[in-house]
Amino acid sequence: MSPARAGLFALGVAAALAACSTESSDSPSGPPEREPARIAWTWDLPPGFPVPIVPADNPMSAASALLGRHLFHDERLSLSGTQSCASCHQQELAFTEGRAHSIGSTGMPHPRGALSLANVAYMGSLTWANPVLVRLEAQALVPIFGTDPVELGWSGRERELEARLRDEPRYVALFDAAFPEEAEPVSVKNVVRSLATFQRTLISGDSAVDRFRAGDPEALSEVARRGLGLFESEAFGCSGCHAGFGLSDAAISAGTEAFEHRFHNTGLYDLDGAGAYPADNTGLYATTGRAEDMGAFRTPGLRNVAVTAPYMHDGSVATLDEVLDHYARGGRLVPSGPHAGDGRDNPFKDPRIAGFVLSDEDRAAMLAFFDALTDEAFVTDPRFSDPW
Amino acid sequence: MLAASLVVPLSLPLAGCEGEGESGSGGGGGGAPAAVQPISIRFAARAFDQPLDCSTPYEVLGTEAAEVGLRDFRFYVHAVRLVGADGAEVPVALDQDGVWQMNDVALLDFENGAGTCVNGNPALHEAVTGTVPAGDYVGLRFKLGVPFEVNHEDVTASPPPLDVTSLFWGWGEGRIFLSAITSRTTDEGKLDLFAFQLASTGCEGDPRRGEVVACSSPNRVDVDLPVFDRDTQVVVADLGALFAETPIVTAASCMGSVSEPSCKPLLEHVGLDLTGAQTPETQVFFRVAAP
Repeated sequence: MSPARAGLFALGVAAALAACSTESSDSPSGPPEREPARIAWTWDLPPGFPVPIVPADNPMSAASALLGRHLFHDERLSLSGTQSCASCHQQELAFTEGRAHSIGSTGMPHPRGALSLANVAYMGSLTWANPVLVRLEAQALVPIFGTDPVELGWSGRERELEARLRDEPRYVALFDAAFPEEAEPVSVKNVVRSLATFQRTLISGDSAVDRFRAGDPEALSEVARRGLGLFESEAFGCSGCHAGFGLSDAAISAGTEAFEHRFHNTGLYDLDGAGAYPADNTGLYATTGRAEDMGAFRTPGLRNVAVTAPYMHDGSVATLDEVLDHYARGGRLVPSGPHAGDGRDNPFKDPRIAGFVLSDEDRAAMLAFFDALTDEAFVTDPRFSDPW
Repeated sequence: MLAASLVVPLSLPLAGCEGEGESGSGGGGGGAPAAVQPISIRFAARAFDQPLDCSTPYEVLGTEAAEVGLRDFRFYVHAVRLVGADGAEVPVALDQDGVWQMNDVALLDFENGAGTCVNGNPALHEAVTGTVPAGDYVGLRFKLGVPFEVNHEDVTASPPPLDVTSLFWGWGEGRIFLSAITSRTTDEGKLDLFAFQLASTGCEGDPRRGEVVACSSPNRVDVDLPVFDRDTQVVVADLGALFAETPIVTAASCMGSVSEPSCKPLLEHVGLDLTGAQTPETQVFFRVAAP
């Protein structure tokens, strides 16, 4: 374990202040030196939402979030100047892209689609199936520097990226405001910190379903209410994985005492009768090599699900209607083609994907419920929009 | 539910925090100071017997008859030790040069950013330098890779040589221990790469601590060269031997996915099996030769 990182990371609301403690983060003294006056960060969270984990070495601040918002929406963040984070994470689509596979700034296709960033502050692991990516600061390095596929294209060129940002006068002021204690604040380190901070502000909890759960009986139509009941029913079993305030069993917060990474095979494929998924998308198996991890992916949160088509890690399910068919059947039958096979019989399928009877009335109710998960304020919130 | 978080800026760089675990402090610490001698352990990049550089087309790499160029060839080593005639190991105290060597980690770099080595940099680093207690030594041992304690530290906040973004797997949150990439131009004029990148795999992070806590396949390789004379010999890093069983024109690159069939012979040739276990008997990548 890394003493530096351990000393710089803290749970809970009060940040651990001992920057260089090599033993633990419980030294309460903190740096007594003069600190620039700063406005304390206040979370404005929806009812029932706990406080997210914030790394102690990257505290929340409005100035950093504002810088992160500028970076997120800036095409200068790609080497070719053609793509920003927002190219694949579009606000009106709850920060997804509407494509099965994202395309990098040099034209390389990504094997998976862009995940929604709504409530990403609460994700215990990031991207579709990666138990090692546990903080947004680390995740941001993947699109910026990744080579397989190339996304933003900066591998080995971090100094060029910094120079490009220094050339923009607005950035000089934004970096200074976000990192006032640093003499040279324009750095890749601070780029990823601010991107992480901005993403931690992308909290979505004002859908009709949320308002209904918070006590407004008028917020949901009767048919959507019925859908919510089915969603939470044992027969449908959806909320077994789409659980809790984040509608995902991968969610974590500052108060979480025990956390276990969870990834699930939902029976989308079985190429060989032995459980195989397509070779470029084997899920958790790709990094662990454990047979039982074949096809296991993280549970996405479901807020705004009606605007985040197509569905599943590879966008292979076009509509929510088909999502319902998949789960009602207890796995997908791919009748022909290179991915032919019956996912229902996948030996590594989560046993809770057992199928259910879905009447026409149930289907209408579920679709109304999905629609009621759209947080209109979130997808139009000017605080998250393109500031350029 | 509302809660306020008190914001206090942290201004200390991470680099200042790494006191623990430093090794490579060399022999002769306490008591009467033992005489130390500066040493240099030279490495050489080769394609079998040919020198490996960024400007030569190679026909000997891989199993197919195709001309390829070098694109990248760099690797990290640590825990460098000399072995005395009595079998005793002595750690080499690496020169702390602020660029290539820090604590007991060194980056060897054989790409000069020219020719086919696109996206590299001009500087080379072809020898590990440091000091050992005066004495006679007959063998060399080192580990290929980066120690766990620093491997997963933030690449954007680490001191050199651990700050190289092109030797960092963002999705694996760890350093690439060995990056060996060739390129060729296809008949259609397109650039086609083959990459073998070795790193720890099967890693898991703890979101409560924000750090990597364990890796099921650490993939650090213990290299033991029992006969090595640093004055008359070099350590050859042989890309020819590494790729000897790999159809690099048609095979998929091996970059950490154990499900990728191309990985097996490549891992074997550095001395690992698919589970990450050490198999020194299959190690052919490093050998000792005349300069």
